Amino acid sequence: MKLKDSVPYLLFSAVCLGLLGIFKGAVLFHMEEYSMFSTDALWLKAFFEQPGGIIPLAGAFLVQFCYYPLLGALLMLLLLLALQRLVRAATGCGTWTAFAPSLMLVLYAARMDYGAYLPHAYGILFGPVLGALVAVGFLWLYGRCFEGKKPAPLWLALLLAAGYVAFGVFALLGALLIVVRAFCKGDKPWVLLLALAAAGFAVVFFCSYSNLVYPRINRRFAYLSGLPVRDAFRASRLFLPLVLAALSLLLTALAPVISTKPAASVISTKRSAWRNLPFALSLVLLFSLTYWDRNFHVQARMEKAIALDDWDRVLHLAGKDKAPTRIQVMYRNLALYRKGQLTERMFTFPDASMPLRMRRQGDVTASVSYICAPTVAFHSGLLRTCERWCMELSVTAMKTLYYYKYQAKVALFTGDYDLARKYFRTIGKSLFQRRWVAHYSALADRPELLAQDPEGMRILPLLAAEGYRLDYNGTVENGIIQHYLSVPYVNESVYEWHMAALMLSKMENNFLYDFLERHEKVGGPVTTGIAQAAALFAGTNGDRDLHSYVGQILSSKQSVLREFSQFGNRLNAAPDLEAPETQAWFREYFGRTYWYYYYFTTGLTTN
Amino acid sequence: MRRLLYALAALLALACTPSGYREAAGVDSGVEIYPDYAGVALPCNIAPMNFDIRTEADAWVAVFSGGGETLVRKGPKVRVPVAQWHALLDAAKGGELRITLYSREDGRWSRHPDIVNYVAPEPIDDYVTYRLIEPGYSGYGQLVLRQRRLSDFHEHDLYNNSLSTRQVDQQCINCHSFQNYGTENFQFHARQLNGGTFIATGDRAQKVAFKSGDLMSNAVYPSWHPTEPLIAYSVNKIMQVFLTAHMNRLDAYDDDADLVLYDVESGEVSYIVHNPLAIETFPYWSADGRTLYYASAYLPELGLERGVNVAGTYDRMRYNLWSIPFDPETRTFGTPEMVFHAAAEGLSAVMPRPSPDGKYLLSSAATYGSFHIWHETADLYLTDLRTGETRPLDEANSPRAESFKAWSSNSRWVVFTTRRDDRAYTRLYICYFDEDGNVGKPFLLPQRDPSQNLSLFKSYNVPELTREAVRWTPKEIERALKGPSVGTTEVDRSPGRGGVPVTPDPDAVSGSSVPVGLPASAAATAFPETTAPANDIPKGQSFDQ
Repeated sequence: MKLKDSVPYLLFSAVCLGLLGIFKGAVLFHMEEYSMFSTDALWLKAFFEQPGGIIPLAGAFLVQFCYYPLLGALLMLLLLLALQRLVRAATGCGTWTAFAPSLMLVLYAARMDYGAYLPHAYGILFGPVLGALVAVGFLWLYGRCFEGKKPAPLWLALLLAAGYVAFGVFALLGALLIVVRAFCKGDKPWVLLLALAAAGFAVVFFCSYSNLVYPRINRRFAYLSGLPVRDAFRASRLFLPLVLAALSLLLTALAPVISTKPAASVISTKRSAWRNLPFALSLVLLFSLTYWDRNFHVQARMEKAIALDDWDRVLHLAGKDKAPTRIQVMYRNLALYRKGQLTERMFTFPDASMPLRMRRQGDVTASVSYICAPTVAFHSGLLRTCERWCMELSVTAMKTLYYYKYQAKVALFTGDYDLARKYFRTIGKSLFQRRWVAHYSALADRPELLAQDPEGMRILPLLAAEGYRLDYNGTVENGIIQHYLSVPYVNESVYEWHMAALMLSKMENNFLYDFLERHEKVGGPVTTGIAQAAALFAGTNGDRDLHSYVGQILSSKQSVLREFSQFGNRLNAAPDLEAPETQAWFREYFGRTYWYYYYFTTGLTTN
Repeated sequence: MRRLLYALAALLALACTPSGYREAAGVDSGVEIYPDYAGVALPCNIAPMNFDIRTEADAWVAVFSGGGETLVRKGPKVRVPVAQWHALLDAAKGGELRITLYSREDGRWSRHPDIVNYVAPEPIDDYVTYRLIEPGYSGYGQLVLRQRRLSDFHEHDLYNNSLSTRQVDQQCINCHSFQNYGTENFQFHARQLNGGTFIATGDRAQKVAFKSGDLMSNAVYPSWHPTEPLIAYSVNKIMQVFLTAHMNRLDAYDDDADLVLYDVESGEVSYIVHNPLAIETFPYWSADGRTLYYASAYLPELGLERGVNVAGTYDRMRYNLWSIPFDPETRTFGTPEMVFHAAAEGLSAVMPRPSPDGKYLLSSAATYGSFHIWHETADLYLTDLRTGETRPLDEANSPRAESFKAWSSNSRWVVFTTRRDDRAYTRLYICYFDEDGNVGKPFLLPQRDPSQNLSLFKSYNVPELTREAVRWTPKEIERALKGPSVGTTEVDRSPGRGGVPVTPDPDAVSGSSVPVGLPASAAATAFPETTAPANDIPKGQSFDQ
């Protein structure tokens, strides 16, 4: 191959690996967590209870490799290059043009948004790619073996019937491509159309209505079997790239028409431009329609770091957030708690409640709670809450490694070792989860080691907080706050969350009471955040004795007291606290303090 | 040539069959098998009790023997062909079935102590119907009512809600119930999408909408009269609570409940009991159709008042078991009588199930409430209806929850749900119940591959035994559910003869309401700020030292 012939391949590879493997690497990692693969007969059997089940099954197998995002991206690249070669071989179109369907399938992966947190089908990442290979494969087979031959309609009809059972809608797409090609080449198109239409209709009808074949499928979507219908339709971002991919395949099937006159005469005058146009157009569509939302990608990276227990990385990512979502704020607080710095540093980060930018899904829209509840509930010590969310979400969406892993950890931490092992058994069937399973299985075998485990050392003390016996049934963030607002002092870990909840809720009197009670009963150092809040609440209380007492307690935090005095003086001197320039000034000089949060951070929402 | 082939085949067979195990030395060490099928009484028509050997060894041979027949299987995964198994059971009927396990380690065979089971001469009914459900609390994905043939492993769907589920609407299905172990007449509820009660009578099916007039809810827990076209239902206001640190995880309680009688032919609904001071639920007919058993919580006894939400005191609710006589000819009820005063023993008994021979009554009892499927303390209790004595069924109970149960039509077998395996997912266990009230060790419902129990993340719910398979197909049922529903006619709205009150408890506590289900995902709620920020700091309050 000459160098200039390899240009499109190199360009496509760079785009695919760069976009998917690097920029969206954490999203690929997420896809692995939000999927599952098992060799259990029961699990495998479910895929064959619908037409086209091979596609999601193969997709579920392949997405495992996204545990290493670059590996997953490489796999995607290889499949898309194979698609390009197959399109060329099947349609005879040019190299550049043949990349159009592949680019649209890159767009499909690149457009995944928060909707990917409520998946309803396995293999949604690789499924359409594999399906496109099948569809074009049908076309290629037709060209190689059946074109121009007399019994072609009959053979193709039989192939379609068998193909639909195996590959679902992609077999129907393949049949459509064959018909398009037949019309282009004048190869008995009407006979072929009739045969394939009859076969397609018959097989879909038979599979939908016969109790013998598929008694459980919803026949409304039978003709779309194999596609992630509930994920990709109803105003989803994924619908458009799938349509574009299908259209681009159909256009490539029209290559025989385009290559004949009079089109050829037009093309030949500006050969390179025309040949490159589909590629260029696809590239423009790719970059203009890709989902670029910053918060979504930061969140995905945070989640990958949490999954890999890299809490420093979570804080590093949080440090760059100027306008985070509540999910990012909660993840940041979890990381701070794990590092023993919750009330020390939680107000040194910007606070916000940026909305999740996404399209509404068909039935249930992914919300803050739906997305992060298991993670946040678990790491803040609300294990039964975590378990309940996992149960509900795995029913509302589908069972995934993410939910099973948290359910396994809840079972482990609450002493249900047999139940934990049941989950381990299933999780361990995934290719890259064996190390995770080995780590936690060892703890299930020797539960006494849990208290020495870094995770156990931070989570187990929180279980001492009975708090509400009745679980708060609202958003997960409010649930955590309500839970920790109500608990008495039981240990330092619970105290830290308790005080964090009081500060977030700006509950002055309760804060002062618990602050003083802990000082008198336990003593010990005071974190910067708590010191700031104590100074503020004592300073605004009006009780001079209290003010003096708190001042004594905070005698080791002179810098906090001095800074508070400066803040107070500036606050009192400010003519208009509502003015944007005033707020900007305070944000610049005191934005990393609790005082800024108390006075200027309002209107936060969570859902 | 043929002889050569036969000789080769024989050589091959010999090569594959482990030899030498028959001369094995006996050892005392037992073998761990899963499931635990040691020392159980089996129905003579049960499916093969396949099991996995968990003890490590180089090779295993299992020899089944009983009634002069033997059957040999090799390998740690013991799978018995159905036909051979039934031949063995036929031979061993009424006697012992022994399983001798041989293990080979370092070339030496050992014979382990026999596993001895008993093959009861009484068969179990041919089918068990159950719902497979994830333990989710407000969302329901793929729900399925399934029938399993107990003599082998054949399963088929009675109905699957994925037939109807659209993106927006979901469908819950529950409370399947059959008339007198047959399947000609049966029913189940569908909620939300295409909601209504599916009632099949012979070749006819209809969807009934119950909630009308003053009925507090749709029909809930059903019980078909064994001979008449009547169904006793409870109507319930069910509330859920979610627990942060309690071992029970989840609870549900009745804020209110009554019993009604539905005439399938006329469509009339009338109250059975409507005591304003009691919460009545879980009706169940006796086999002769002349007695209706139910559970009732008498509020004054518990210090509660009707109409006051009992969310804060649901763990004080205690149900007693009652019976009320019924005359099928006149269709009238008599005066209720208490069968089991569970509250007096600090228990709450629900889900009464009288044996078909009329001698015994099984119930589920725990320390409080009615949602025993999630109560760790829930156990099976047996009431001898001849003497009135009630005792826990210790032979069948476990430290985990036991709840739903069903008698076989010959009163010799009980199938029940239990969370004993892992505390989270219920499984079906079967136990023998002889004429003298002796109870056998429960055993797990046999599966073709026992490891399915370890990989199935669904619970078996509400087992019901029947003699035959349901003839309706899922798609026929779907068609009926998508069709129009028929209403009901309320008659005789005066309160029936209610439960007899017992000594009231003077303590009274009021509760507060608790919301249920997952929160609305899209609506943004204000972040909790309980105080308005102060606008300035009073002068002179600085901390300057």
